[in-house]
Formats: sequence, structure tokens, C-alpha cells
Amino acid sequence: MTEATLTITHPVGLHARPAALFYQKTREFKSRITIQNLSRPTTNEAPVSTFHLLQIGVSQGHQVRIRAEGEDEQAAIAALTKLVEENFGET
Amino acid sequence: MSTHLRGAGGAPGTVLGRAVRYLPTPAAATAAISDPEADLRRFAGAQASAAAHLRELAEQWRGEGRASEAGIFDAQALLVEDMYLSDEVTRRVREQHEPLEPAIEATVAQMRAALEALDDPYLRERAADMDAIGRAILAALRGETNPLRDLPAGAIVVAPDLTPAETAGLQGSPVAGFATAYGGPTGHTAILARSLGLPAVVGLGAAALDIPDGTNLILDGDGALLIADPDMDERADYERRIVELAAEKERRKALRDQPGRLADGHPVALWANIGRPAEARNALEYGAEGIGLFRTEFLFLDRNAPPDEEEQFAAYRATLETMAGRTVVVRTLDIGGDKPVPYLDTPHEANPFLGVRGLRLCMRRPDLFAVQLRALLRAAIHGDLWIMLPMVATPDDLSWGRAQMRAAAESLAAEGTTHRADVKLGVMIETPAAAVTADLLAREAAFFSVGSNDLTQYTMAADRGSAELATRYPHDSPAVLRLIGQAAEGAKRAGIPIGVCGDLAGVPAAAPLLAALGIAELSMAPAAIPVVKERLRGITLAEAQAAARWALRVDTSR
Repeated sequence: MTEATLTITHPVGLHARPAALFYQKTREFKSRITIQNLSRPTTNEAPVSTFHLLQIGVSQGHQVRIRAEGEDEQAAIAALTKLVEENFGET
Repeated sequence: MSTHLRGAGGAPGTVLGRAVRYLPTPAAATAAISDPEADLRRFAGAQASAAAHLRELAEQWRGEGRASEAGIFDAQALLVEDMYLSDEVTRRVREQHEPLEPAIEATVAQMRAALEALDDPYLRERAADMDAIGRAILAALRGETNPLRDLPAGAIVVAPDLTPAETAGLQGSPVAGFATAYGGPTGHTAILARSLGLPAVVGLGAAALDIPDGTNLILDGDGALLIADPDMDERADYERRIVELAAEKERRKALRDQPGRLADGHPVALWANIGRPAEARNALEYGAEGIGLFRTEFLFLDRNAPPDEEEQFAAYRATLETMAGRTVVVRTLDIGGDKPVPYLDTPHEANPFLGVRGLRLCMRRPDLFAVQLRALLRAAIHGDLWIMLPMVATPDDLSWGRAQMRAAAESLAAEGTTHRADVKLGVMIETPAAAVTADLLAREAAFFSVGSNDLTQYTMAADRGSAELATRYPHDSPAVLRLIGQAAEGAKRAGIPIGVCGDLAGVPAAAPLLAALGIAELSMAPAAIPVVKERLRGITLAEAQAAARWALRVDTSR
């Protein structure tokens, strides 16, 4: 299992276009990928899906923990980390 | 005996028509012989087809320049294929042996409830989306392409609610409008109806669903009113109103290309305020003779890093080209502590409206200001660009801005980059200081533009966001008008033009007063231009001046 803790700095948080890109990125990998919003303790860790991302309400400045389990788990975490750090393609 | 129903909101337009009821078919409760695996395959197919249809709608609307409406369909397409939705429907069908359609409805209801429970306005919108998603999947399952397609002219669709996709399906249809029992004024259905220019009323309540098919209806979208079975007088009344509205629309269309002026020919140019390049085209459609305020904040907000010179240049150039030689007044970056921007490092201030904002923020970040000025000077060769500085209080402020512009021109010249160095540089009159020392500012400014919203706030010492204070301290109070008059006097003496770009410019009753004070251009929301234009044409300069003297409480007996 590989994991990473990331801070979402995009102004709209993990919603709308950033959420769509994040979800689409997870689909490129075979591993099972879950996400938890550490900044909202009342929410759960669950597999990444559009609906789950809505439920956990990740706003700008929130910290999330992503976990991947599977043959390409390291590549998955690296790719998702890069996506977040490169601000979803907006520089 | 007519029935009047009031709705929560709607889309403008008044029409007479006949009711066509549209009630979605409830889910098939049981299937005689069900094969769960076959059902799940049909479900997957329906998901794919519903998502494809929604993505098609998104592309279509995006292609028409309606990006935010397209976003509604994009978001729904993603939810239609959501993993949680798929897993839960699969679980219900496979493990709980539920028939497919009720399983879909129950899952969707579950998801809706989960989002509603989160008490967040953005998520409430998404909760409303869930019903639309359920309907989209069920419609795809049943092979219904567009159930609202073959409706006769003059039909007014009456439904519990319409999904965004169903509303979009009305585009190009001969229907006269629609009315729903549920839904609110800011919901997606109302937004799309307004975007399509289709008259509608939403949120009429359950009573709307009692209206039988074929009932004569009057739909008044502006007043959010539906009249069922109108009597002869009501009908005649509305028919007359519809004719008048149509005539007015024709008159405004004819007026569109006429320049703004008073009854005796005294010119008052009517310009538009815009916040994005794409709005310039809309401004032209309303007859704008120029852009009096091009807000540039769209380039700087909602992002993690500032826009580079190329991005800014492209935006300014596109706007100048759309306006084809008409003046475009660009306001330089006008942001303050009230709108935190990650890369600007705006400090926490007790009074952000009295703090480091507008030009003062640019003084703190001359690097950002330089990039904007370079982009503007480069774009200036593509049209008639004027540059306007916000939050100016002293001649020193203007001098600083002028020096920065000169430095930007020099840096471009040194590189050999094509640009215009002698762009008109003016200031906003929005601080009382600027208004009372307008004569000093006029020596160096190429023009003035009155920001009446902020001028009122600072003059009346009343927060512009306070509804309670707004009635007591309005924008057209003598104090504010006198300051505008003072600024206009300073402009006149120096021979420079002065305009108004705040909300006051778009108020038909105020426009003649401003013209009388010597304001040469009024810049407003594009939609306000036709009404202001008509009002100005109905009054002479002498009449306007008399009205202005009264409004300023000037004693004419002396």
C-alpha cells in the first residue's frame, strides 16, 4: 500500500474541473485508490468517485490522504501527487 | 373562473398558450421475469448512453459560448457514471434481488439525501442534480430520446419539474413556455430557461399539477405568475400587454444603432461595463458605443498564480478587436483584502475597503502591475484603448501610475516589441479626495470615470453592502451628485471627458441628471442601455438641468 498526504491549494478545492481531472487520473491505474479529507474528521475514507468527492467537500487549503493498493500503486500516487502539485494543469 | 398561481421565480416573457401536462412515468415496480445480470448490462448501457447525451449537450452549449450552462451538463455526466451509484445499484439488484428501476430510484434518492444532509449550498445544488441523473438513466433505459420533442406551437408544458437535459431539449421547439410545481429561481432549470430566452415560471406548488391538459393559460415569466382558465378581460389585458412588449422590443431594436443623445441632440454616449472579453459582443448587441469599464479581475481571481503577459495581451486584444475601433476603457487590477488571492499575499486588514487595494496594491506589487501595463500597451495597437487607475486619492497616485506606464513603454521599446506608448491614462473618481481635487488631477489625467458605488460608500460613510443603510444613503443623494458635479467641473475646465461607470449610470431616472452635470458617457450593464437611451431621448438639456438643480438642492433664487 502506498499513500500520500496532500494539501489542495486550488481556489475551487477538489470540486468541478479539478475533481473531474482527479477522478479521471485515478481511472488510468489498476490500483484501488481511496481518499480521505483529513480536514473534515466527520467524513470517511472511501474509493475515489465523483459522488464521494462531493461528500467529503474538499475546499482550498484542506489536507487529503490518498491511498493506493495494487500493482501500479506507486505510479498512481506519484501521478496524483503531481496533478495536485501542478495545480491541475493551471500554472 | 380563473385560477392565479404564484411561483418562486422564472424566466422572462409573457405568453398565452394551452397546458400540456408532462409527468414522468414512475419506475416499473416489478418485472415479471427478471434476470439480474441482463438487467445490470442494460443498466450499464443506459448509464453510458445517458452520459453521452449529457456530454453532447455540454459540447453544444459550450459551442454556443454558454460555458457555465455547459458545466451543468458536464457535472451531471460525471455523476451518471459515478462508481458509487454503479456499485450500489449492482448491490441492490444482485444481492437484494431488487428490480432494476426501483433500485436506480432508491440509490439516487439515497445519494440525494446524503448530499442534502451536508448543509452546504453548493452541495444542495448537486443534490437537486441527483433527481435529474436518475431521470436521465431511466429515460435511457426505456429508450426515450426526447419526450418533449413533438409538442405543438402554443403549448405550455406543465410538469412537477424539468431536468436540465429536458429543458435543453425544448430549444428550437415551438412550445410557448413551461411551468413547474417545484424548483427555485436559482436552480438549473430556471437558469437554462433564461439562457434559452424561453418564458417560464418555477415553484408554483403542487396545485399546478391539477391543471388539466388543454387548459388555457397565461404565463407571465417576469411576474412569476400562471393564470389558468383566464376570463375574457384577463385575456384581453394580457394580449394587449404582449403586443405592447413586442412593439417596445422592436422600437429598442431600431434604436440600437442610434447614438445616445438628449431630445435636443445633446450627445450622451452609452457605453457598457463588462467583466470578460466574451461580454463585449453582448454589449454591442445592446447598442453599446464603447466599453466604459472593462474589469480585469477575471484574469487574476480563482487561480494560484498570476496571469502572464501573453494571456493578458490576448484578452485585451480580443476585446479591442470585437469593439472594432470603439473606445475600450480598461481598469487596472482592482483587488483588496476583502478578496484573498493566494499569490498576492494580501494582509488581513480591519478595514479592507480603506486599505491596500486597487492602485495601492499595485504599488506593493509593481512587478504584477508592470506585466499588466506591458500587456495593455501591446494590445493598444489593436483599437482605441484607454487605461484607468482605480482608488486614486491624490495627484501623486496618478504620477506614480504614469511613471509605471512610461517605464513599461520604455521596456517594450528597448526590446523592439510593437506597442503604443501614448495611451490615454485616466483615473476613477471614487474617493471624495479625487472629487474635491479634480482640478488638480485633471492637469495630468486624460479622462475621468466616476465609480459612483464606491464614491457613495466613502462619501456617505456607509458600507455599500448594507441593505439597511442603502435606502437612507442612496447613490443619487445631493452630497454624491455635488461631488460628481465638482469632478465634472474640473474635467470641463481642463477640457477632458468625464464618464460615470457605477450603477448610477444605468438608472434611467439618474441619467438625465448626470448628463446635465456634464457627464459625456454613461457606462452600464449592457441590458440597461436601451431603457436609458429611450429615457434620455425624451428630455431636453434644459429640462435635465432644471431636474439636476433640484436634485443637488441648489438654491436658484440667489
